[in-house]
Amino acid sequence: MALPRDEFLKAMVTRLDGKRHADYPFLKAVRSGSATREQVGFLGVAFYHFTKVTPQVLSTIHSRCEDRKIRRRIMDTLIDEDTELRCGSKGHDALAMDFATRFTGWSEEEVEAFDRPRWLKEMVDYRFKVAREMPVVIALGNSGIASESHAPEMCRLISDGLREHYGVKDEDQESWIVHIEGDEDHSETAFKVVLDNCRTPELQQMMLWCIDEYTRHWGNFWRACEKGAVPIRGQSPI
Amino acid sequence: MKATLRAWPEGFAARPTLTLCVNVRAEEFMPSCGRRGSLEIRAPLEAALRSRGLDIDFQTIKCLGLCNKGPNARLAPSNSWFTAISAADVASLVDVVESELAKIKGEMPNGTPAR
Repeated sequence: MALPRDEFLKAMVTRLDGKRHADYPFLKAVRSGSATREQVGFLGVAFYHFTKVTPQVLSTIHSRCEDRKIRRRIMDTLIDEDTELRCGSKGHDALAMDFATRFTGWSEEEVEAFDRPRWLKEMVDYRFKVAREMPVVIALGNSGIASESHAPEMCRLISDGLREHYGVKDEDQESWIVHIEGDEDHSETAFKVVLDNCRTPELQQMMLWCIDEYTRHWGNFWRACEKGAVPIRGQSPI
Repeated sequence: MKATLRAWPEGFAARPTLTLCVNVRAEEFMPSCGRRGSLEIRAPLEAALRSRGLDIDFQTIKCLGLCNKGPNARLAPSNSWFTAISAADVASLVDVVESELAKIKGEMPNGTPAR
């Protein structure tokens, strides 16, 4: 039997406990300034490679969505992510690239050519697999609930740390700042769509599985940032 | 102007920052703070912050992510927001910022204890 709406909501939120971005030591290290510049540079480059596929993941979900109203909400999010028209002065991949290049001193070509580690390839593959193969409502929840619902705190910690300890001006870290409040709409949309539509035990189990699986990938991401490092060019790139 | 004020986090060491969005989107049909008046707010706001002698870093940015609510400014690291700012709001915005900064020291702007 399917869980009632409130219990399903509670189950999803509980499932995130201890696995939100801000729960990982690396985020606290950036906020406190104890992460090295090489680790932060690694974060910038890895985050670009995560972010750059988001528009394609979203457009895959959009193309499969039969519901006109939901499709419109996905389109709004896609406009935020892939254009300079709303929520960002550039597409979010371009903003992530700006941060990566400005912080590391690397060229765009070098960031693009970064040899993605296996865990990052698997994370990207997982995102596409869910977008292509899972029910649309689950794919939306995978992005909006399992990841974006706790991204604002992550971005706030990183942004405050960058400003306070690494000398990064706000104009050089728009990639993080636009998500501090901007992602809340995406998350609210996802929760509403999931709660309105996941009314069978099978769909609810799929959603909870996605929360487990996507947060596992994010756990790999944050642990890799702790161990990762890229060379920083120049004395003070920003 | 609408102010959404939040508490300062524990233990931050840097100067607080007020960041004003000055984005001017090429597309007139899409909202952007610069087109909504933030470019006219920038100079008087910076001057007002300086004239009060506030211990704050003033910065600009091309997007804060809340375009439909602009012109916007953000106070960090408290993550407090000022939305729908107009030129007429500059003095009251600086009043609020001064009041918020005083909370860091546990004082009201006039020097009396905040609590």
